[in-house]
Amino acid sequence: MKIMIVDDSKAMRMIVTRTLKMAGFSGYETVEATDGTDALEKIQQESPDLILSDWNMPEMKGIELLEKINELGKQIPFGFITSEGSADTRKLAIDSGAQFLLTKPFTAESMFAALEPFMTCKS
Amino acid sequence: MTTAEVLPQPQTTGQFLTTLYDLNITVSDLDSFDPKSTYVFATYADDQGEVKASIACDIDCAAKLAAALTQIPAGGVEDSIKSGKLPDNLSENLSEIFNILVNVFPDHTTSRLAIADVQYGQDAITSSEDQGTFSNRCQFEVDIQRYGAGKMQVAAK
Repeated sequence: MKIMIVDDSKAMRMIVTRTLKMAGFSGYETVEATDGTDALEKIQQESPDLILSDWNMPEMKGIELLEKINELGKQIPFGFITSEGSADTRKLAIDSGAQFLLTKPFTAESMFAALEPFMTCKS
Repeated sequence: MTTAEVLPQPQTTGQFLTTLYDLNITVSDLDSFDPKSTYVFATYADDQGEVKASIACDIDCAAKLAAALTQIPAGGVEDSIKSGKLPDNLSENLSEIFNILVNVFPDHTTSRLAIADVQYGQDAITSSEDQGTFSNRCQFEVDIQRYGAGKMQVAAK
């Protein structure tokens, strides 16, 4: 299973990767992208099974990335990991087809609960 | 709205940071925060662009929070503190921390806030203090496991 982590912060990509391990998942590999534009290119090359994306990024925001993926007709489970936690943001994310929105800071437990339905390689 | 509703409490801030870092972080009240000790000052605005809140850190707090985020060895942080300036990797971490810290404000989930600006040095906070921008403020000592303590001021309208 391949998980794409999309975040312009190297630190956050590192923390998401670390928390995936702490959540007890195994048997997956990760691919990193630095913004929506980079992610779109790498989706074509890497065919990820799950996308975890930040909301606010340069070049292309996470919500725009999700809309582009929808336009391409790709059925890839998509979740936001973001500091955007307002009710309006959450509604927009879900209405646009996101499976979940995890607010920073997150725990291994909250990440497990959000991702578990989409992980085909559980620990 | 009371101060307790617009400003985070020490215990909830400590829990927030502990969750973020997966390190034991204790936050306790301080009597004061000297604006002259400000190293970094972030402001947060609503959807209309009105600045509603701010967070300031002294260089100890900034450097230790930044280093601990990606577990950069604590020993190397002291050099940055002595030099009075953070290297690029720590500054990048600090930007992400301030981005996430928007969620420490209790009413953020009902009214959207986003980071508006991050400035370095005492000038920005001194200016806002002079203008009385923020009517509510609290000061914390933030003590990070293995890294040590620094000072933080959180303010809101």
